[in-house]
Amino acid sequence: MVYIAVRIAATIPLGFAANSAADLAGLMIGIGLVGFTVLLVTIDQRRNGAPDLFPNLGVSRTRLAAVAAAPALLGEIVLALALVPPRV
Amino acid sequence: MSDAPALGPPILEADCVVKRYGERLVLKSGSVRAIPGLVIGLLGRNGAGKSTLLRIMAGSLAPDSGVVRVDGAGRLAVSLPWLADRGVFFFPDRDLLHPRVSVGMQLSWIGDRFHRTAAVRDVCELMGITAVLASKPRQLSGGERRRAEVACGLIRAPRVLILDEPLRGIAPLDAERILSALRAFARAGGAVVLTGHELPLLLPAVDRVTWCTAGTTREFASVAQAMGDFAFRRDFLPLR
Repeated sequence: MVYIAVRIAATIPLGFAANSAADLAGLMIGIGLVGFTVLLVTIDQRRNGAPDLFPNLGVSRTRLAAVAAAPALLGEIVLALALVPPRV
Repeated sequence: MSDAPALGPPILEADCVVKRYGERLVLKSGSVRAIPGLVIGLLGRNGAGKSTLLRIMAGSLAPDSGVVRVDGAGRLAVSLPWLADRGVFFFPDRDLLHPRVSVGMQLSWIGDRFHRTAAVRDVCELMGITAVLASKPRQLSGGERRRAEVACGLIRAPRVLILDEPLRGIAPLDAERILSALRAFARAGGAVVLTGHELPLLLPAVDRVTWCTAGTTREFASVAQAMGDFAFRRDFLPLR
């Protein structure tokens, strides 16, 4: 899952400032990618079972998905930053 | 039971709960209470709404209407994480433990999370799972896995244990060990609500019966009272 997310991320330059339509599009794609990653992690948790232990520890499913997705998100951000050409 | 401590008010209570799955009305008006010092058996036929009522009580499912009270305070919506912070532990009718992480590691998580690290070893010995701590849940037998799950709840030392069919598919010896631990938990002041169909094992272990039938519930003050009720026997017990 992380591999797929990183491969997708590697093809998309993320924009971090909405200075232009292209930047805005990049930002929207980035937000969508984050949501997609969290969705994949949630599905992964569902399919592999055992989500019930964590709510019993006081951890919500949303928080759990966010934490589980963090490594993938970090990889996406690092790769995106590396791929975006430096602004002059 | 005569050796039970003085009963307090319910810690957790689902009252007048209504739940519909599509066209099917599963619960018309279901109520169940978790009372400190008591093991409550929520009994009924398959499809009577027991699991649905338990899941609503545990914040794992939202009711269409009705109220869940925690320490007497009614709430329209509760979630399991919220209840967990208030001392509720819920065993669903499926595997609780993560299949790919060792049992010992998961018990340690619980011990660390609730500052109960010192209790891990004692509870593991009590439930007879010390030898399987290095194993992953998928490597355990059904009975070992269920005992490990109950150990999770006991390590957490909650105020309320809610168990959906904890004895399903396990050997009588494992079942007796689990029931013995649950009774000891209740004697120490905890509240237990459980479901199941293993009557010969369950009935001697429960203090009260809540009978779930046709989308409604009826509470009996004792097992003897339930067994003395003709409608209960006719609806739930095999003819003799």
